[in-house]
Amino acid sequence: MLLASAFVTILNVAPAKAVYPPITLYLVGNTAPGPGYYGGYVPICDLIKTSLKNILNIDVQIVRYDTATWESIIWTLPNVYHNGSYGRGGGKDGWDLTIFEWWVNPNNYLWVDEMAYSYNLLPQGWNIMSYNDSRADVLYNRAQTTLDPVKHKQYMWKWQEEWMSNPPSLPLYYEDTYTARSSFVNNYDETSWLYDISQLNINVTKFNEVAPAARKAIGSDTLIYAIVEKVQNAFPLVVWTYTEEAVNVLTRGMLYLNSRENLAYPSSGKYIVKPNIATKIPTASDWTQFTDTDGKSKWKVRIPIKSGLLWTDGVEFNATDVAYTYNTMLKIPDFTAYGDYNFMLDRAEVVDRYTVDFVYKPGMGPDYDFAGYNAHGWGLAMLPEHQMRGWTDYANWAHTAWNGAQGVKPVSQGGTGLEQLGPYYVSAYSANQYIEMTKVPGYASTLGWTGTLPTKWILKFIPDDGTRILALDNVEVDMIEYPIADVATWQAMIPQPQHRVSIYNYPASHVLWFNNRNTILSNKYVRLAIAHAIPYPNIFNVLPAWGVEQAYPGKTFVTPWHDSFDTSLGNYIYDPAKAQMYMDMYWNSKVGVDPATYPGPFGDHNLNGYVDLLDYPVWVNNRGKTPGQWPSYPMNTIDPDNNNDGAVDILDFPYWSARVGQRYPYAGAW
Amino acid sequence: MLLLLVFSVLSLLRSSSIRVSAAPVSPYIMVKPDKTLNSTYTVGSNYTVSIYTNYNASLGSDLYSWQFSLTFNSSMLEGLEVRNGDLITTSKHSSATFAPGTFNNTIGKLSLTMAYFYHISPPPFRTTGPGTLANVTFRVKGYGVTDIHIPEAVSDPTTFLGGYNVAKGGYYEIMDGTLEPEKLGDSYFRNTIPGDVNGDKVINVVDAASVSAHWYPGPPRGPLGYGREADINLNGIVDIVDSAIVSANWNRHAP
Repeated sequence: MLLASAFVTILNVAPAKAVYPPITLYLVGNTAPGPGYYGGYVPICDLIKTSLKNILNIDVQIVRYDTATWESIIWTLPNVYHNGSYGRGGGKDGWDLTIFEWWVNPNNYLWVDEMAYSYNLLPQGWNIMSYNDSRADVLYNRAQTTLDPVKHKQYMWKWQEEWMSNPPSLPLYYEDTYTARSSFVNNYDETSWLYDISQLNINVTKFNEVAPAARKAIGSDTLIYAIVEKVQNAFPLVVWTYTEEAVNVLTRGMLYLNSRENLAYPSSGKYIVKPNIATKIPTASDWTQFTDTDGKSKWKVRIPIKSGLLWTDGVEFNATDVAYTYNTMLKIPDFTAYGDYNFMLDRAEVVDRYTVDFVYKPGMGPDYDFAGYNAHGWGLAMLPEHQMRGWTDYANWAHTAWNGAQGVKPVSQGGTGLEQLGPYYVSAYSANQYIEMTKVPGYASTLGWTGTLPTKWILKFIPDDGTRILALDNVEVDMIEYPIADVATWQAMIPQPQHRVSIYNYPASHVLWFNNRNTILSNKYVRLAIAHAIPYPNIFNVLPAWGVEQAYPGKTFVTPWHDSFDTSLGNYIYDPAKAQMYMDMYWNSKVGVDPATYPGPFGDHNLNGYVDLLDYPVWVNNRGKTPGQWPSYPMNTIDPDNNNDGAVDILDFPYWSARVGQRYPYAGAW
Repeated sequence: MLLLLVFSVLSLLRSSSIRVSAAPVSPYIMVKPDKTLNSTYTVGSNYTVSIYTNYNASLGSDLYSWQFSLTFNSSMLEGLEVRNGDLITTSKHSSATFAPGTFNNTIGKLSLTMAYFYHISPPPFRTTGPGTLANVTFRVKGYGVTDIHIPEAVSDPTTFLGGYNVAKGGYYEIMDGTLEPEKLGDSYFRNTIPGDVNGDKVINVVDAASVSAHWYPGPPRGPLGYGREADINLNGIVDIVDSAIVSANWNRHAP
């Protein structure tokens, strides 16, 4: 609550420069007013629209769609990006800007990897912003492949600095926020979610004290969890929604768990990866470098697994299932929609009944944290090799047998789906209503879990934010996904004995995403102009209404609670004058602008902010060309036409040589 | 009183984080000599370092450009002059172009300094080393220590060797100090009299206490661990030799 008083409202009074011609960008968003992955961030979008118009003469056209349509525009229309010409304006044909949150789980980099690497561009990966910065690639790769923790930190920090120097998108803020669950639910962690339920239990005494009659009628051996999303896929390797993620971790085995050490909230903030089906975290002695049959040098890691686990049909789980799962993943063409392992994993090999070797691709080293990559709900859930043996139709993974309503339940339980291997199995399912899961006897003890798990879980579909909160408040449900309410609502719940309200570090950044396929946004100076025209203090004033107790300036995807967060890095500030200095760099580069009149960015051919020898080859390589004949997107806009006469020729050279060492648009980082 | 002095020194040393330099990884750009421990560099004398690369024919003969910048402690050194080295020179090819940077002696910085073989179409003239990129001369202003540092931050212009090699895609960076900081080597300059750890121009119990506090011949170590100032002979450990240097110069005063 200190937040609101810490800032004064900014009036976006800075005028647009008369010289700026208008630019139109389409901000495509959800209809939901609030924050989150499915949030429309409506008041924030309105603030940005006003500010960009006033300062930069950018006309932000806000277009809102229902969730499914918005998602398809943002994520699943690669043809829009790959037809060679972006400029289809917006609307359903594409997007220029959007806002939604992006998670970086506490101790793995998976959700950075897939977005940050230029080789994860659509359609191979999920890099929807088309982050295409080769220097960022190098820094991130070095961070992820070094065995030296000091170097790892050094490179991760540099990578964050590179990000902010050439922002692919703008994380607007991080937050400490509220959450709540019923007070009788013990050892649930709001950050690691269901990734680790190994210590979970229901305190029956407390349950009997605080649960209302209707809830008591369901019983203290059942946990009720409100979910937001539908089940779209029941195939374990393809996870589209948080609900599917919950189903995966509850009903399907994972090699590792993403946990918080000592789940007794809030005394411990340290996150760890724990072995689950695997028996250990790989150490240096588990890695071997060898020359493969293709003559290439590769690394492999040996992972032992636990014995004694049974599939729901009673067949023993073994190393064949593990190797089959990973090798099948590598064969499914559009699994790479999530791209989690394809870039690093070559294959899996059975060593013996309880041991598997994972062979990495050339250049991928031991510090691509194998355990971390597998330790969450987007990690690979095991496939039953004995049930799938002979299946080769990899392009048809959305098989109706295991993706229809009956496919949510395994064959052994009367459904048509794949057998399951988790602490629970799906015992009843009603599409868009609920999923009932029943505890598997002996599973927890086989894995060494210490919690007294509830006998049943009911995942209840309650998509509306307000209805979900109300259900929690009335103890109709015990926990909820995406608990969104204002600070006052949370404060009112604190003294009530049936609730356990807590404030925690939300492990996500709230991002204004750029589509850098847009040739205007591809220009770094435009993105940095926008970064300085965002009215951050006004945005922060909005946040208490969304349950934000404390907000922090956004920098990159890496949150302040992540072990690689660069504590030395400054943040962008709202500064209309600087915003216009950056925007000048964009407009001053246009053909016909007199370079004698304007200060830059003449000589900065690669638009990295410096005039130096990295610019020289750009001029040589493009000599004889005219604007439009050199690449402009995504994110690699160049401009070797220093004198703006419409041709790259010898007349441009003096503008470069005379400005060597100059920094644009001003000295110092952003 | 002694205790107070010790604590004063401990506080002083604790507040400065000093990096222990390691040999750079090949191919590298480094400042030579990598260390100068010489009390004859008195105020007013000149001191010259070379910016050097070990890039050689066994690594490649495709070098056509280089650039670097430097930072230094402006209370210790004042930049005077930058001269081209022997790597990219008109004696090798008439297209050689040298563009020296300028000194900012207030903040202690030599701005971007570069050389390249001018061309308007590839391939450029190419050469190899090892050799000197440039020689940088300073005037000594103070008594103490300074790093002569090649910056590596993203916010600084990168220090690199530029190559042209068709097999490698044309223009490329042979090494890039921002992306590969392990390929940069700094220099350390100290003109204090041997044993004057805290730079107060006299060798006394404070200096002895500093050596003790940083005692690190290997584990177990002193309370502050390795400290470069206390490593008087700069051999990477703080041990009996450093302590002996303090003793040998006990009560000596700098001029």
